[in-house]
Amino acid sequence: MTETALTTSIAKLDSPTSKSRTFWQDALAHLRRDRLTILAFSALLLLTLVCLLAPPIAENILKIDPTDTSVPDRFLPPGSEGHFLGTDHLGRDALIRLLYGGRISLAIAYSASLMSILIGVSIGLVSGYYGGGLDDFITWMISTLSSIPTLFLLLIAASLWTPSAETLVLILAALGWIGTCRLVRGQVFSLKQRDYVLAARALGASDFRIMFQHIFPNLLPIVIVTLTIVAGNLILTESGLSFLGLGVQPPTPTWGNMLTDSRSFFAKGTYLVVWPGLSIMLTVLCFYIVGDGLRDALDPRTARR
Amino acid sequence: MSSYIFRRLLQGIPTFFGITILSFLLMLTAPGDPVSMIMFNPSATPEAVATMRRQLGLDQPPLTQYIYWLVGNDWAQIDSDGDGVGDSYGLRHGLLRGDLGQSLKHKRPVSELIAERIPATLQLTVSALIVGYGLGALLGVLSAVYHRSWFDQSVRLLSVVGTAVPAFWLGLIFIIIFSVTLDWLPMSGMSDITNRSGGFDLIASLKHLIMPVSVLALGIVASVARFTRTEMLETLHQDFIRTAHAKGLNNRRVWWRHAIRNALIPIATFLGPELGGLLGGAVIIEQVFGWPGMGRLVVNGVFQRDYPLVMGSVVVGAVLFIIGLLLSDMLYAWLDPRIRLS
Repeated sequence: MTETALTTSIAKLDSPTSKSRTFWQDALAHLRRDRLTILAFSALLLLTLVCLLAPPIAENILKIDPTDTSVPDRFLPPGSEGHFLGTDHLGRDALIRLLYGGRISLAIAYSASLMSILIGVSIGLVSGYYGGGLDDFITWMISTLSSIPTLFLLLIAASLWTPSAETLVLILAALGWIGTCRLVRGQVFSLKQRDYVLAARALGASDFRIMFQHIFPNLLPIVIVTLTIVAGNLILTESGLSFLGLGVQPPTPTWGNMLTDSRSFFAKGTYLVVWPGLSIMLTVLCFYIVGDGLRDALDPRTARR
Repeated sequence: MSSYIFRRLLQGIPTFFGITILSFLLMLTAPGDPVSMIMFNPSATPEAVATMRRQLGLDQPPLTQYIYWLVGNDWAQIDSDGDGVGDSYGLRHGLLRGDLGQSLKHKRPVSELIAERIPATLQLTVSALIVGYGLGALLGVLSAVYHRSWFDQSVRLLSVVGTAVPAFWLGLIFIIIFSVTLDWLPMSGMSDITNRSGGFDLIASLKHLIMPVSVLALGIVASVARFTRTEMLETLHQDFIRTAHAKGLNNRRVWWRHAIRNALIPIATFLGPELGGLLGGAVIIEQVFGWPGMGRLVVNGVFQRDYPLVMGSVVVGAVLFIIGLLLSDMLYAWLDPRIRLS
């Protein structure tokens, strides 16, 4: 290669046509090529939207109320006229109850995962950044809480407070931050050794500024991935608790307590067992796939094809 | 090795005390008066209630109560009639000596109730653990060895779907298929209640075990298979594997003699954390299949607001979990000399 050719190729690199991409643009470009993740993400978005719009859908399109009971219409099989997914033991429409149930289940999952991440990140950030006695105390608390099986902790909470959707969110968030906190704390430990933290401190930045301006942005990739995985886990946990009768109480439908109801009617309404379970499985699956896809997209070490 | 175990045991102590503090605080905040609930006798005189309160040490400040609850007060003279002079021994034996209190519903010691139910739960969880690990490791290894084949793809699919399926729902589906429709397997319980000879029937017990164990094991199979696959793939790319191939060994020998041994060691670390999920999962699965274990006991306890029973079960569950973590660490140290010597 001659010297002029080299100079022009370097000049080409500098020219505005080959703009450098930021980390987030890079991740987005990677995500765009990941069809499975896009599919799962769209499915989640659609599901959330449909569940959110359940009341208008019930009123205007299906023209049924989720609490409408009708004795002659009990156990109508799926595909019956006006009841696409059949009816339950009280003659309530299964589809609309599924949507209303999804509203509660998804709302709990979204808000509890957001809250638990918020708690986990703040505690992990402070604990990892300051270290010392505070960190020892928090580590002790984490190791104590994480050596009790989570479901047992939830059982205690459910026995002390009457469960409703709101208390359930608080309980799930109060117990769900431990994993995130541990993860964040470990990351902060390594991030605070970096040179840019030292530089920021030399410039006189306060601890608060270093934590939230300099360290936190570097935590965002794991936080986002954890958020999706935790949301998926919470849907499973909530459905298990509701199934035991310790979650949201009927007649408010959730996917979990719809399964509890359906248990008594195996012979007459097998489909009533199938729908809520399938909804849970597909939703959780979507969350996991999106989480995996995001992990790949947000990890700069993943080979970019 | 023994110094490693000793160090590991020491680390468990603060955690254990953390659990006792947590349980005690929850007991303290639980609504209702424990004494009147234990006695449950409307005609009990206030004097009798006061005496029992003192014998249980409930008239003491919280810190003293905690110590009594932990180590008992049967070694000290308690002033049971309130005249300021110690006259009889207390009634508590203390958590550390196996006293988990009295169940409000069953009117029996919690430790007795739990001891009756624990074998059933252990039978379920240990079987699920063995099946889950065996099958998971096998699938993971095969999937790595036949990398990118249809088999590998199906194992990957299984390991994602397996973690997303709610186990109790799968249990319900199994009951519909195998009990209600096909009538192959019993729907619930641990043994045949129609068995009049009263003897132990192995076939019947196994039949009762199949569904709960496979449902409980699915999650473990999924995560172990996924983990093993990654480990095995990583091992297969290492130098000593290339050397083994270069030596002229055939594939089978390289895989089974060289790769698997190294790939399977890290799975031991997986064992402990998995146990917590397993104990929690067992609580739900016992409910689905009417399995007479600890899970049913504690869930009923929650419904009946039987606080001593719930807290006792939590302490026992946590202790089982800590023991599991300890055993898995020890197994890992035993398998991998780099850990115990570091």
